[in-house]
Amino acid sequence: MLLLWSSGAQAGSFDYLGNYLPDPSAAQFVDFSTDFDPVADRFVPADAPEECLEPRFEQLEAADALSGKHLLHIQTDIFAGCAERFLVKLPATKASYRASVWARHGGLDAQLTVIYPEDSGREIGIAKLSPSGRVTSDGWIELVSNDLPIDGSLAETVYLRVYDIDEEGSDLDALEILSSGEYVELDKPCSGLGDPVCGEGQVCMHQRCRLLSAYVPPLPSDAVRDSMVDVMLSQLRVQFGGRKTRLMDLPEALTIIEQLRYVESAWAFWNGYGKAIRRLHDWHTRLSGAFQVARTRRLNACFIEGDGDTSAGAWPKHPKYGDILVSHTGTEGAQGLRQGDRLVAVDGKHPYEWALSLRETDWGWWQANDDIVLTELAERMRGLIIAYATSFSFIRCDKGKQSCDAVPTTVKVSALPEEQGGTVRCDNRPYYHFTGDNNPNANHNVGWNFFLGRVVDTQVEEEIHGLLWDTLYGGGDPKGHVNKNLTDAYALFKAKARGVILDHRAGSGGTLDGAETATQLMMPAEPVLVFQSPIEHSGYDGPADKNEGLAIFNKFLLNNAMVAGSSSWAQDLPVALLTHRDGSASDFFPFAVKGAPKTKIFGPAPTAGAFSTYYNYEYWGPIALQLASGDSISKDGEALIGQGVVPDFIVLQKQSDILAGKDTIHEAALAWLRQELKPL
Amino acid sequence: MKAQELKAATSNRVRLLLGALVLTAAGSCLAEAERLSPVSTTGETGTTTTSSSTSSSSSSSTVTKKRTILQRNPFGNVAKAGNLLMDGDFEWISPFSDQYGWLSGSVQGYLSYQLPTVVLGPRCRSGIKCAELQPNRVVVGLSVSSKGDPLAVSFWAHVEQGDCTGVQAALMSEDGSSDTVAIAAESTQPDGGWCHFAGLVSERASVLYLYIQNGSETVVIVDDAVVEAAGADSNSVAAFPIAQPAAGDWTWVVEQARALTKPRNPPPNEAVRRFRALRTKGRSTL
Repeated sequence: MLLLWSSGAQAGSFDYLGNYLPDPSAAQFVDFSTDFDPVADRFVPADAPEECLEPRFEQLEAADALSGKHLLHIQTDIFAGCAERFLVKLPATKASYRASVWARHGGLDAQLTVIYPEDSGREIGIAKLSPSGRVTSDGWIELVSNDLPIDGSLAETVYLRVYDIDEEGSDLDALEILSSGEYVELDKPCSGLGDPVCGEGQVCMHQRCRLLSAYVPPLPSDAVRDSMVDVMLSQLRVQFGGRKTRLMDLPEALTIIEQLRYVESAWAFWNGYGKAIRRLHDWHTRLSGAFQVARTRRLNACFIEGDGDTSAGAWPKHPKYGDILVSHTGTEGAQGLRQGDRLVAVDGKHPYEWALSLRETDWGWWQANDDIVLTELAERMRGLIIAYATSFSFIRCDKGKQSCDAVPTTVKVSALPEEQGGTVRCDNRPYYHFTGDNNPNANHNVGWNFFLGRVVDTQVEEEIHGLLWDTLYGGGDPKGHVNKNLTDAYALFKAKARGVILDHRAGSGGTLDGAETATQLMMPAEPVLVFQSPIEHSGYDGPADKNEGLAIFNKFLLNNAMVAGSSSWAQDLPVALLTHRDGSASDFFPFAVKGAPKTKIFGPAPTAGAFSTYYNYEYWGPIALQLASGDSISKDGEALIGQGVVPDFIVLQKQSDILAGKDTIHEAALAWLRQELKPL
Repeated sequence: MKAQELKAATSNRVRLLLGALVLTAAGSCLAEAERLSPVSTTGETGTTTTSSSTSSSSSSSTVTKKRTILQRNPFGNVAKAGNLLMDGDFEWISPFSDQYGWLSGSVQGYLSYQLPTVVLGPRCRSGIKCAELQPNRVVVGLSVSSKGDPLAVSFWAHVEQGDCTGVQAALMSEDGSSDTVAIAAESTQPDGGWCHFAGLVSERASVLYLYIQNGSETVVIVDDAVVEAAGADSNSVAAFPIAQPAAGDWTWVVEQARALTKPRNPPPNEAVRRFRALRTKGRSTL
């Protein structure tokens, strides 16, 4: 009995001697022998970088070629960013196809790509290839794709794109393109997520139906699907999460995975897996695919949660969700949005309510562990709107008049101009506050940089200084970029400052040593939490009470503690720490300093509560799972996952302040510092 | 092709041929889950010809096969659903990983998240992917423990030369509360090149590190590693020998593995950056 691991048609077969027999009905078969011209059959895009022009493959005569007497040896290098492309000739008709190719040696990425003329209105078609499970004793493995509808009458170029992902290179042979059924119309215009015009395996994104099913691996066959589901369930049960996510979120994910036993398509299987992973509600956890869906429009504005005080009369507050304001915009492409405007609805719903509904669909989903924290959604809002919304409504405000319109303006996403210009970074900072040239540029490109300066609108004798940065990736190097910048800045503050503002409002985490270094200005040395990853016992739900938590804390105190602070901390220096959208190491840092004698935290909401780390699992396609495992236990015995650090002063950005050129959170911090200045 | 690349390709081919010879012979010792569906036909000779066979009759004893066809589960050994290792079968390994379920390094050296070399295809014991260890290289698998259960620990190693004693393995506890035990080969003699390492371990109280070292002078392939709760229904592991304490100082492994699994959210590695560029930059990248 032959059991296949992946469902769907296979390509050619083998005779009893092991010779490859291509499928006689294949629309095209290439064995890279006499039917292949290394020059004419190679495709190089017109805009290929110069370093990619030189062929990175060779046609070799080889006795152990899978088919014929030749194979291709591919030696691209992922670090060079180059790939090889081999043309495929298909009939000038409309049909659906599956691709298969055989490869061996190191890792390889393969996809079938269809390019249509730019003026055709057709999007580029892509189908990723993954193993079918067939292998040969001489090392060949078969890679196959799901169905990809191709309009051969319109296609400009069809090719197989490959790159190998190690130093060894890969062999390639026996490329087959198989007709797999009726053509399905693609790229139909659609008006937002859920538009029924999009068919099976398609999602309405960027105003068109996108065939995402061609990006995922084939459906595991009936023979192994139950076992696959068992592994998926076990993996989460055994390894995932911390106390909160295991008790509150994991059960939902397991229920969804159970249902995968009964699905009938590759898309339903893998998208269902994605839905389950998103239910885990974890800042570090995600399932991503290689979807290449280009943005067709831009909304060059950044949103933050705040207080829409100026527009309160025009649009009441939502009983559950905060107001969404425009923090700042880029110089072009803001589509009429201006700094201080208020986003009141997306597809008729509060922006948060609408964004939360995307968890079912959005493979880029990113959410705080803490249930009440939605700042990640605000930061991603512009991209979500462009990708999935039909319309959005905002209240237009005028900085000069310090007033807002009485009624919202509604914009249809489809009416926005089609253009793909750049976008300003969203760092939750409407304004910068250092004197001179010490601020990030107008593009808000903080990145891995540190910005240090004296705070504007302060007196020289006040000596109020600040540091603005987003990364805590110390990487274990005390003299590395992050730790050195922090220690140098702190040395300056200790020597000179009477008050300090640490602006960490887009804290993207890093490593524990970076978080520890960041605390050294504010507190004496002490262990504040212990951290264990991966999860210690299979299926451990974390400490049931504080006594159990304290036992864990004591157990790991010696080897797995976060030791915050320093014996040389600045005991009389007031420090205001600004947080907004912070997670992971950027949770650890504010957690440690909260309650420090001269430190106060200012922000609109708790941090993400992502008190763990993660591990990567990457399958072909590539389907990439990033899974958090482990929890942190405080010195009080509490499991911390899902409990973001609540600011000492919860301060919402006021719309009236943004319109007046003020940064409410900064102003609040500055006001507090002035009351606490280090004595002269 | 440049001369150097050609040499490398030729070298690859020689190595592949060795692998093919071994694996055809090893086709009969696939992991349990994979025995379900070999597409092998009778009369395998286990040889590789330099051209397609032209023998006229399948009944002739002179018939040689160019290759045999096997069916592998690309998702790996899914029969071991309760594996406590993060990715015992190496099927989810990728250069795009920042933090993977295996650390690698050199003997008495440094461990890191740098990935072991990935091997594809039938050279692997199960599934599609497995790991290759050069001499004096080690891998350390990350595993959770199972409260209340003894553990059955096993993996397969393929040796090119010599016997199974060229590979050494140990299981250690992160918290040091239990002895580090050696996971020994069930037999010193490989079967078709494969050595099965197995051991029963008493309950452990913390995260575990499965240390595998290539102490031989040739390349070793590691695959299908399993740490599972050896409960009452674990008939398949009942015959495992009880693992004995391992001599030596394992502190360096525990300390480095512990340090590497502390919270980190690193910037994208070079491969990820290139990969993202391939996805997002214009038509030249499609």
